[in-house]
Amino acid sequence: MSSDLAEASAAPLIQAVGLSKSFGGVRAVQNCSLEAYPGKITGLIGPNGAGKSTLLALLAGAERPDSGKVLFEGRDVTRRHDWQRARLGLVRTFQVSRPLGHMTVLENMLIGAMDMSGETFTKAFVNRKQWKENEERDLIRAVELLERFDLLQLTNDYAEILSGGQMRLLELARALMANPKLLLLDEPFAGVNPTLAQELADHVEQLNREGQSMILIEHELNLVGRLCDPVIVMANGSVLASGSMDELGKSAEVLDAYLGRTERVGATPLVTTSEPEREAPHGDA
Amino acid sequence: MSHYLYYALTLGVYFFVYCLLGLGYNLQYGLAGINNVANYSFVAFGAYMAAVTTLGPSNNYLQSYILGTSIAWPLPLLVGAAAGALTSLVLGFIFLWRLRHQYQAIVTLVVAQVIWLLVGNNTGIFNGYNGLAGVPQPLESVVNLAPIPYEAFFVGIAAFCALLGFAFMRRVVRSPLGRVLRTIREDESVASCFGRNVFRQQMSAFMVAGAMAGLAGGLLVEYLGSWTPSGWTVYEGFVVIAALIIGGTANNIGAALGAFIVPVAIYELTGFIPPFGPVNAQTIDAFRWIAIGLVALLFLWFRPQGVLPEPRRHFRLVDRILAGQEPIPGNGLSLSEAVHGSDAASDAKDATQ
Repeated sequence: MSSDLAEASAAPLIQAVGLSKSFGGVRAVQNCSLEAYPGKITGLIGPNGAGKSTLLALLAGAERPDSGKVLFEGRDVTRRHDWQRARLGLVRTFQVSRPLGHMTVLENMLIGAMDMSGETFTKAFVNRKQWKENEERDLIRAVELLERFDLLQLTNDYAEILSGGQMRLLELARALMANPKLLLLDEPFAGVNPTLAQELADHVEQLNREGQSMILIEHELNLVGRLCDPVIVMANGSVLASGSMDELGKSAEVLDAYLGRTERVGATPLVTTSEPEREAPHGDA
Repeated sequence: MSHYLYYALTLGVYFFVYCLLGLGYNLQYGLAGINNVANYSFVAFGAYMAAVTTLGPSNNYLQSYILGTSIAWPLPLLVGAAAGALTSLVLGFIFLWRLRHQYQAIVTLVVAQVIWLLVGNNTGIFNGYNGLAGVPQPLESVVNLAPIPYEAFFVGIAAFCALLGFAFMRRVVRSPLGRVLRTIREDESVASCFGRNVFRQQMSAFMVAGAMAGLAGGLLVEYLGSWTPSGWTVYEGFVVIAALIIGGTANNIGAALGAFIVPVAIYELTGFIPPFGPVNAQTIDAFRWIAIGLVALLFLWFRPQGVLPEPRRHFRLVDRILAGQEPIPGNGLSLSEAVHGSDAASDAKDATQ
């Protein structure tokens, strides 16, 4: 999955150094450090309440850390707002799909494009020719992506009528409109049926093959094992371990935190566990 | 006969001024999703500023006010618009920084009341509750017309401003700016995670809407000749809100339709109800407000999108692709090939290669 190019460039795309964040008395994230490298899908796993989404929000800038730093391409972005980080190429999706309900699927896609011409009162009136050109280019890219994600028939429908799975596809397609350097995906397969989850995973895998770097939060460990390398395990707001899924499957500490058991360590690979986990994978219901 | 003509022309002025107000409110509420109940305070401020820049220096004996000067028309209207925009800039920091949804609405309502009390109780600013009177009508001595032709002339001024506002809002809605504002209305975290500065975008929309309200206020005071706090209570602001809800939120034609339905049709027509039995003129005035409130409520229950819902945006280029008139860029397939499995299409492609 990782190309030679990515191996060669050792500089991390994003780097979190000692991030902490509390909400009231709850320490959601404590002294977390992680790195994600270009061309890779870095997995982020852990039980519910481990602090994964908060960590992602800290990386994206939706939350400000109490302490610690976030470096994006070596630049300290800790004090930058989420919209400023987005302009640098750091784009996130949400755990719960966020379609713009009363706008068409196509308009949802256009908002993903970040050339932002014609978006102030002066530019909307003065630079009409320029934003028309940009809009046309964005429209063509949107149509390409909608076709790729099998949403083209829904182009002119309001996003609010989409099914849960279609919203997931739209969310991923919309994020790609931004040409992000790093895509932060918060449970992109949550709440969709297993077939569509596989389809989404295929999209993610293919995007990675095309060079897209990602950080992926996911509960379904078989998917994580298939897509992500390395994988970072979080528990109780801290990073517990990181490595490939095979390595993590052998770690007693990880099994203990993630599955709540220590027996038969090493004998049972983590990803093919057949017993019900304490935290059931979604899509079962 | 001439009474009716005069009355019709008066309604014309009100219609066009309320068009402008509705379009401005559509910009901040319909597009940018700002829940502002204080919109009429900006109208009032625009009206006062247009008045004090028309009236000339204050002689503290009759009425006292700040900044008394007399500048050439239409500059007082522009001063009114600028005043609306500047007040919006200041209050925008209170309304738009962290407040959202019903909390925002409540705070704007409270601020509107505070402004109302401040202006009413401080006689030195705009002559307190007595208000300003004797504002000359624009270009009265220049055009030198009889009452009815002058009334028609004023309808023309108001119509010009309303049409300008309409053309302006049409461009806003169709531009990327309109798309960003609607994105903020739908879900502002999506807007900011795609690089948009939500505060700045809302603030600029709020200021432009404030300018439109200030301009409308300037027109009103120049038409009426006087302006007092009893003329800009929360009720007057509610007329604008009700008009947009009934006409169609986020629809510019809906805003114009609402300006006809609420301030012209409902408000004026209910004035024709004759007093009967225990119902006196005051009761009838109360009926007007009940009628407007009731119609707005019925719309919110049964047709929240208004008479004319928000138009769905189409892009001609994409519609041509969807109709199969143009191939999908990138792979050169037509839509039907792309949707109904591309086996046949790719076979055909292979054959041609």
